[in-house]
Amino acid sequence: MEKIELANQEALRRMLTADPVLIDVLPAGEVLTGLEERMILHAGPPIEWDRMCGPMRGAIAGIAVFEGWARDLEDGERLAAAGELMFHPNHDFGAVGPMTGMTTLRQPVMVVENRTTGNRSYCTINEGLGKVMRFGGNDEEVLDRLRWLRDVLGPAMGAALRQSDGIALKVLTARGLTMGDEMHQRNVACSGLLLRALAPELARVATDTAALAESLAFIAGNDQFYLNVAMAMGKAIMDPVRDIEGSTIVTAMSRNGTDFGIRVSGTGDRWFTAPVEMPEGLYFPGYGAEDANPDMGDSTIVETIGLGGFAMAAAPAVAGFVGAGNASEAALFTRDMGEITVGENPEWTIPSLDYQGVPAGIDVRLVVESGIAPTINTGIAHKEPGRGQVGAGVVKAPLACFDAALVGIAERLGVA
Amino acid sequence: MQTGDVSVTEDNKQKPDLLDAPLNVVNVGLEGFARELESNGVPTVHVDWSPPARGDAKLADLLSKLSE
Repeated sequence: MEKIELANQEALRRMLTADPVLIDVLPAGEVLTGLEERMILHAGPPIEWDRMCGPMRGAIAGIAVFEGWARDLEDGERLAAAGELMFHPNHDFGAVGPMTGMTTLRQPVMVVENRTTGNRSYCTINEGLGKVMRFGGNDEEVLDRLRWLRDVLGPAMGAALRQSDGIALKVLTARGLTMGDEMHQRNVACSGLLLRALAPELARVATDTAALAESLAFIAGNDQFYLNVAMAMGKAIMDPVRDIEGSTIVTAMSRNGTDFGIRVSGTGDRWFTAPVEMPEGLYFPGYGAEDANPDMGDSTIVETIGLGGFAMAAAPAVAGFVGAGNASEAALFTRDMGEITVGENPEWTIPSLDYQGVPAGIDVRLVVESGIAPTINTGIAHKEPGRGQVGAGVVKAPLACFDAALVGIAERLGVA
Repeated sequence: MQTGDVSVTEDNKQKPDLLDAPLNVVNVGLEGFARELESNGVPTVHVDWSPPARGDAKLADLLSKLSE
């Protein structure tokens, strides 16, 4: 159908011409329109308390304490169960969040502006690995780290970025791809490159050298620091791709630990959902598949723009880390994703594939026709609240989401 | 009946005997068949193919309408 082909060409053009720049860090309450007291933004499509998984509940209880809405975790759970907290998807507020994806008023969020189209997207600062809120952690150690991000690192990064020209993310990401990152489960190179760009700016605005040293050490000690930047970048790239009449390109993939949801350009902000799958992967010592929570997080925005599992060939070390096979098999994942995308990104290339661009623009029709589901690299949370990360792995997007989306598009175009 | 028998015999004379000649196989679909033949020394080219939309007729029909 010519209308679809033209619409998808326009969708790909918007993706490839995006110019995402990290420009600021500010409290979420100052930049997210409509965010209110007792409102919690979460990862994935809409969900209510009674259907939430363990780590999501744990994070909600914890963030309610952090925000001062609850006396303790028990009180936080009580408020949630009593309907005294409001839950909304990050995606409805221009934001994204990894794993549980908690975004609330007083948390600092990184601001990424797409300078081609002027839209802005937001994501909280990555907390590090292990027992952290995004994996459902909620004890005092977790909350203290969030307070430090709020009081020290967030304001410092904001001040540093505001007096700079911002950090252009497209080029930085391109360099990371050539250095072995895929931007979902491996962000070692990009985190280092980002620190290299940020450090002088942080130093310029610092008034407390001890706090500066602490900030630099925190970023340097977190190999996944860039993940949240890449996510905000992904959202900033994909938001202008929404609402192209007739387009079958996926604009968001997201999971809340219970449901997997996708949005498609030609059907606007409608979610097409199906039950989430269980990741297959490797576990930290002492943990196994019996401890794992199903798939979770907005981080699949990274795959939506052609990175993560789609760029596995760029990061053979990840294939081993997430249990996806030998390093030499990493290229097969990227080749498979080429079967379900309408183009390649010539600015994000993979050296081991003779500088082929990452697969870009997931076409719902190609997914349904081929039966090839998008491959996602992901962290694995413990299924119980308060426990944190237990491993990393690979998971497939449920094909039922794409089947439903195909029907939705056909109805929209009057051919169902 | 007799004519038919003669015809069959003539056809058989014109065709090479499949089971006597060396096999060169193109296998379409289920990979297990290709693996089995290869393990018995039969040169096999496997074509990775499956019915559109995993054989779901309704989805295949919609795909056709959205792709034509």
